[in-house]
Amino acid sequence: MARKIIETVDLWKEYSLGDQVIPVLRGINLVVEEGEFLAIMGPSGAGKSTLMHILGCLDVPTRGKYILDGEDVSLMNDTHLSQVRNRKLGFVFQAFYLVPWATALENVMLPFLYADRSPKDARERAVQALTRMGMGDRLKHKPSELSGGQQQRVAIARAIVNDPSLLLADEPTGNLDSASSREVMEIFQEMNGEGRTIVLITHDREVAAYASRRIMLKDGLIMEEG
Amino acid sequence: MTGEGQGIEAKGRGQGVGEEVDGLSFLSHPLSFKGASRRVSQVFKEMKASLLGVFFMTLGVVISVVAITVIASLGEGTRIKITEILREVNFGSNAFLVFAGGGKFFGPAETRKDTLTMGDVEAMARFDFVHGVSPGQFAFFPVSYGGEVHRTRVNGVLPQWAPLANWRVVEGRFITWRDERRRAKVAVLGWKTARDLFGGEDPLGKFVKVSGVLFRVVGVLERKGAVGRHQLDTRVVIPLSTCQRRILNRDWLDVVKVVLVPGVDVHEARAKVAELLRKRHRIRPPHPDDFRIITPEQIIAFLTKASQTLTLMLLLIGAIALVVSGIVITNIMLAVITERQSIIGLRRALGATKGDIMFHYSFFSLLVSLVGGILGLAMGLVLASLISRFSPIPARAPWYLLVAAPLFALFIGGIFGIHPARRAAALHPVEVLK
Ligand SMILES: Nc1ncnc2c1ncn2[C@@H]1O[C@H](COP(=O)(O)OP(=O)(O)OP(=O)(O)O)[C@@H](O)[C@H]1O
Ligand SMILES: [Mg+2]
Repeated sequence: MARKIIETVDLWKEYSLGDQVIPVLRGINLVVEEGEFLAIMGPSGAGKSTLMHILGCLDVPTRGKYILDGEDVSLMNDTHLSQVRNRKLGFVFQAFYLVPWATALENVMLPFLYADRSPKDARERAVQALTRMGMGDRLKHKPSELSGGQQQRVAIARAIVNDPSLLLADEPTGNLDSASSREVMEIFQEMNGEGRTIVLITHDREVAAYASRRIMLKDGLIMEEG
Repeated sequence: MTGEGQGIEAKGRGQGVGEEVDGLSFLSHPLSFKGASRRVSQVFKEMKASLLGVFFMTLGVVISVVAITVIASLGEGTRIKITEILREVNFGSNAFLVFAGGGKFFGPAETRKDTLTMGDVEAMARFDFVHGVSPGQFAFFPVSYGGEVHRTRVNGVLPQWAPLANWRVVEGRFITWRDERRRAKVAVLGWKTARDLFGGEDPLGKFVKVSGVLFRVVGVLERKGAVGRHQLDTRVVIPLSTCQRRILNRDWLDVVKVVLVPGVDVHEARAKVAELLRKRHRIRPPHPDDFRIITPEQIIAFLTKASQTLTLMLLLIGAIALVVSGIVITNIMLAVITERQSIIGLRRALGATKGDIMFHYSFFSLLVSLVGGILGLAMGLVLASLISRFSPIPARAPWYLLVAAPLFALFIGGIFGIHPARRAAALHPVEVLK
């Protein structure tokens, strides 16, 4: 059996509004194995982003257990979670979130800034990652000088430059036209083909079709798998 | 959303993202030099991206530090200049002045003042700790030559006045004992008075009119300058006996300068002279002295007191300006951070700890204030020296200013940068990555 990258046990997330408690995630049991490409779908407000934030160690669950790549992260403090994000996770967001005053190359090198020990060949690795994304000739471009699809490819390069065990993407094609969406999804598929574990959130069935496995999230629960 | 005070809050477990408060954990894992320099270069890049904000933050600090530097330099320069000039007229630490009439410093006499006589002077001269005494009378009179009339101080003095005041003549000669004995109508002019009355003309042998009496000019004094606003070079010096008999029509003296033998304790000497005068004037407690003894330190203190109070007040205003510029720093930093919150969230997602974010923005404001402090100091020193070049106010930066100005600016940047930096570090990544 393959290694489990994600394992959650009865994961809850609640928000309190005054004395009212609003449950957003109501007992998520999810296992994602190494090399899987999982698409999480579901209506707006279902809790998809909330789940991704917890899976990405950007937020903590109210209750339940989360084991990431063999490490129980449910009880870690902020500094440890930061280190886990740096070492094990790569993020791709709908809004790209590139640093506007930095070049493509500098953006991709950002994760090394927070690594305990930055690799000697940091720059080389960043160039490699960008080249893989077909951006090898745009190293010195600022985000504003790139198209949406190109910006997202820089963001993906940044997400994988540290060779994370899990790549998380929240609606990565949400801001892209259909041609760029296809390009980006092909990249995800290709990376999955090389054995990279990916969890992707989307509204779009066509986008979800690139995944190897799909789940539906509804009212804070996993409703169907298929 | 800033995640603060929203009424909605995550029910965490007391740990996890956003709940560690110290924000100083970056201190626990040492940074390599390279790591630190790469982070610093990140700060520089971010500063370049908000030049206008950085400009205004720096400007505030620069303006207040310039003000502080100029004020402190001019104040210190004035103090040093006064001390130098007093020393120049041989009124350093080994001399004091005895004024006729008791009362407060420089106030009007509160007792009779016609008691200081040549007899007192001769008695004082007999002390073996006294190197020399120089009695004098002074009064203000219109002094004229041709069409020029100037109200000028007239000094009646004895020949020893010149050596005891360390004052040479640059033209002609000084008053002699022969002049004194004969009550000669001869005058020695102060450098500026000679200029004012005669312009380029040679004053020697010419006659000036003092209080209706014609005096032949026999000499011109060397130039000494001014103590504060008190010009030393406007005066007409005449023999004491001439002054007593022909001008003021009185015998009693206004002032006696007592110069001590080197190494003598001024305070002891002063006490002995006071005792002598009380005995000679038959003054017993509780009756007040009918004379005042004033030392150079008292004169310096008096002359600098007004300007010192002013300097202190202006410095305080400068310090307040610096605090205001600190508030500007806080506000601009908060604006910068609000504008950059998604990037802060991104940095957190990429692995930045709260401490990393703290470091980043603290360094930002510290750098701004340090640069502002050094720039302000440099510009202030240049401005102070320009002011002193084009005005009579001398400038001298006190040494402590060179350290204190940048340090104080840095301190302000640190204090007023903490709040924004903490705010940035406390931003919850989930709240800002939406
Ligand atoms: N800080 C918060 N306080 C209170 N409720 C919140 C908070 N954050 C999210 N929620 C609620 O949690 C629910 C799930 O939000 P989430 O962003 O996970 O939905 P989503 O599935 O990603 O939706 P979308 O497809 O629109 O992005 C929503 O109803 C939202 O209002
Ligand atoms: Mg969402």
